[in-house]
Amino acid sequence: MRIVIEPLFHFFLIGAAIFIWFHIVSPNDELIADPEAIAISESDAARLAEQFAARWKRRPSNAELQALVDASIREEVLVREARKLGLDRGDSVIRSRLSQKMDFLTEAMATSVVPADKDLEVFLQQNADRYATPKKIAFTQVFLGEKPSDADIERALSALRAEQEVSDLDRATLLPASMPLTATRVIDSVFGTGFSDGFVNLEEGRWVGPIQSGYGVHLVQLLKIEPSRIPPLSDIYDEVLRDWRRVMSEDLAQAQYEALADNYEIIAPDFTGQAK
Amino acid sequence: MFRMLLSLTALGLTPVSAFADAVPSEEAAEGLFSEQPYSPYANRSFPERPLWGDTHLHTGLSLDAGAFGNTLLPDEAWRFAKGEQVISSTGQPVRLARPLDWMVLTDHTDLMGFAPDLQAGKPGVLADPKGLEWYKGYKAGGEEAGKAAFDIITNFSQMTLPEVLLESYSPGADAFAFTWENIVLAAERHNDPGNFTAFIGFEWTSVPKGFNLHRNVMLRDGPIRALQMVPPVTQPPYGDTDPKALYAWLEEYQQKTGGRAVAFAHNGNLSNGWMFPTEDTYHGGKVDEEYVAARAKWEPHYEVTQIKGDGEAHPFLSPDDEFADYENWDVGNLDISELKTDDMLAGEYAREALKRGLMLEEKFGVNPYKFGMGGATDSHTSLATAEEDNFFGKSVSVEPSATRIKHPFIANDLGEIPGDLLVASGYTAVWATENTRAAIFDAFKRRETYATTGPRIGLRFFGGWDFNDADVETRFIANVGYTKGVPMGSDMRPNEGDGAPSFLIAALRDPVGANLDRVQVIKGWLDSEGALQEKVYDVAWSDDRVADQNGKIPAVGNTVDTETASWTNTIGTAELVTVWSDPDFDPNARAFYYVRALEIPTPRWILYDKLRFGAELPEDAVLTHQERAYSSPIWYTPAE
Repeated sequence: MRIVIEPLFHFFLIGAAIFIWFHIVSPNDELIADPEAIAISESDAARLAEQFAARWKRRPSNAELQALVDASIREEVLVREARKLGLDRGDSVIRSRLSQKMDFLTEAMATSVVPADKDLEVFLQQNADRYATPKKIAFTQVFLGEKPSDADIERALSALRAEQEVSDLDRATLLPASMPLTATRVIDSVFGTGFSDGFVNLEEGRWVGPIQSGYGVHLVQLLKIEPSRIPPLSDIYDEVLRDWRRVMSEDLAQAQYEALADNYEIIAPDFTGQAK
Repeated sequence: MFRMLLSLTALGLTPVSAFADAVPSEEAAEGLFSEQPYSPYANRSFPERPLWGDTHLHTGLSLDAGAFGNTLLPDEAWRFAKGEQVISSTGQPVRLARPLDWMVLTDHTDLMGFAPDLQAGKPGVLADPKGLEWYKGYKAGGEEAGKAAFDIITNFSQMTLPEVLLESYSPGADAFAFTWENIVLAAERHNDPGNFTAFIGFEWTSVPKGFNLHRNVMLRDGPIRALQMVPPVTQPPYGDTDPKALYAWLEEYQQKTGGRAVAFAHNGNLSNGWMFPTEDTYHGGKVDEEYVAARAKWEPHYEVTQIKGDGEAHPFLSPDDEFADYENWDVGNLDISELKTDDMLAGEYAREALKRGLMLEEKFGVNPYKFGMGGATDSHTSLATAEEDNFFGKSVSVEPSATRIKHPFIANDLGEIPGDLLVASGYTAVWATENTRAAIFDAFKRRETYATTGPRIGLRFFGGWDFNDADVETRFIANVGYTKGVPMGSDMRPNEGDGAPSFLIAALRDPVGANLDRVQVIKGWLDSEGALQEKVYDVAWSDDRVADQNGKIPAVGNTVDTETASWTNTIGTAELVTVWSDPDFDPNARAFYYVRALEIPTPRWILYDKLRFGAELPEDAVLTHQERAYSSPIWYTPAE
């Protein structure tokens, strides 16, 4: 839990600051000094002119600017009247837009939290599977066919151990005679699921078998084995940080929601645990 | 030495007398690999194993995919391709049986990034009345959402999208550039040279009047080059549906960034004859010197099999080929706004296009349809599934469920493609020396690729003048193949004698899949009368079957138990290796040869739906099929 608590603390500090700041700077229509007055300032007009220029790649004429101002006055009048009538309530688009804006705020905050290296280290260990390098094996092999006799296997094995040339079935095959250091999942995709398991505990350089593949029976010579390892944090710092943020932003959004929801007494039927 | 030979072939050149001192004599080459060097990795300048990938996949960033409820974005698509388990848009856990080695992510560029903004109800979208209507439909879910999605696609194909929305999600708009940056950076995050290659790409979605002229584009490059441009679109005034506009973009991309790009088309079967023209192009142009040169330059590859039908051959065009009738979609164009007529088919199928290419080469000196073969899913679910027993459908609406078979892909007054006809296909295998963007891209350029309908069938195909039966005995097929011949996708070296070409062919079944029925060589040629011909040869088959009086090898049989969706490898064989020489060779005729390897019959995906969900299948549904691999061709051109 520690991993969550520390960033959460930073998060709430930043969160508090942002919410206070928004409270100060955001235009608060509901608290206009004179609710019956509508004032369009020079700077509002300038903003309208800029928006026009961005779309049409030229400045508006005076007539056009006047039309823009009139349109925004009309919008303001209608919005205020609509609010008086309560038309903004129960509108699913407005509601989802508002709740979404709150999510954006949380998201923006989550990406600004910088975790301590030890938090990332813990995250790395908890998700070791994702960052581990694959186990790799290098080997050579001889394919003896689907069901060779014990005598055939014995003969081929002795020959190989005596360093004599042995061919697969005396005919061509597309199966590679050897593979350089290759991830076990790739080896299994060539020879069939589970083939690489046959290399566990083998002695390097010694021909052994039989080992079963998706095609039949093989004799194999392990050349080298490179175990899976977890790289140090410094090698994959950016990747871990990105994943940590992704996971964290979900946790933080939920924590943020729970903190806000705590301010309310919520009365609702509970369907969990009920039979369908 | 060997590397040099290879690279010359890669350039499409053939070693000629000027290089005589650089080319080993045959005796010298033969001795090249006979002794095993101490290091087992020495002497490997040719690809050892095929790298498996998907050239065509959509995420929720694509207009149609997102509108139909795909909420998975590139990160999830990449993680899935690399073998991680993900939760699909319909909430189902899903994982590939075997990870892919590489992938090209190809979101539609038109209105790229609009769909996630619609899903989220961004103010820019809601400000437009149509945008608001679609958002409300999407939020309502179910049938309403489906209607909204169809309305979006209809407005797209009829080019009646609201101007404001079009402007906000087209080149020039911040949102468009931002989405492209997301796509590029996601690919970069997941690109892991040596282990997994993540290509930066896109789909250029030209579909004038419902005629499918789509092209996918893949870049050889990383973000530094890819971010210098934004991809092209087709909706006017921001883009154009004429492929010439795409070629111009590709030219500019290479000029401006120093990068490299290729394009490849798919689903000629939904173009109503416009995919492979010989006289006029859909856009009112002529198939002239300029057209054939540009097409040859930019399109060295073709996506021959995918969810929306298999496009190798059609029974109408190849009446003597009993395997041509495979997963064909031949009702109409993409939105069935025009029905198909037989005369359109020749402009739609890969085999016919390869033949037409010979004719155009005779006329212009350049073959515009000299392409390698590939398969892709074209899934719109962010999930590159092409296996019958793990098929997540074309779009989110047909992810696994008891009723998905009943959802038609499209149905209108003119015709219908029922849901059970979706094809769980396909993948592309690439013979590349390493798993990197550069090596795989270069293999596409030299056409050393092959297509499968999903299974990982191993396929080698070499053409030369002196392969013989002894070559079948060799342990190292690739050594012999590359030394004495050229690999799939190449031109035959000039014939020094007067014999017929010979081919070294080997096919290996999927290690966890079905046995092989047979391997065939398909030959197409331009005869002395100027007519295009084709012939299918059975060259190797299982179970010691004997040809009947018509020269046909009898069918291999069928072990599928439709109750349990299972089969047994008691028929067929694991591996087929042969040397085949053309018995009908005419040294004066332009020709191509490619290989088709067929599996024994196995269950189609609908049988797994029946087994797992108890899904009802239509009475006439096709329950079993013979999955297959298509090699890229090898071309023979007569000496001057």
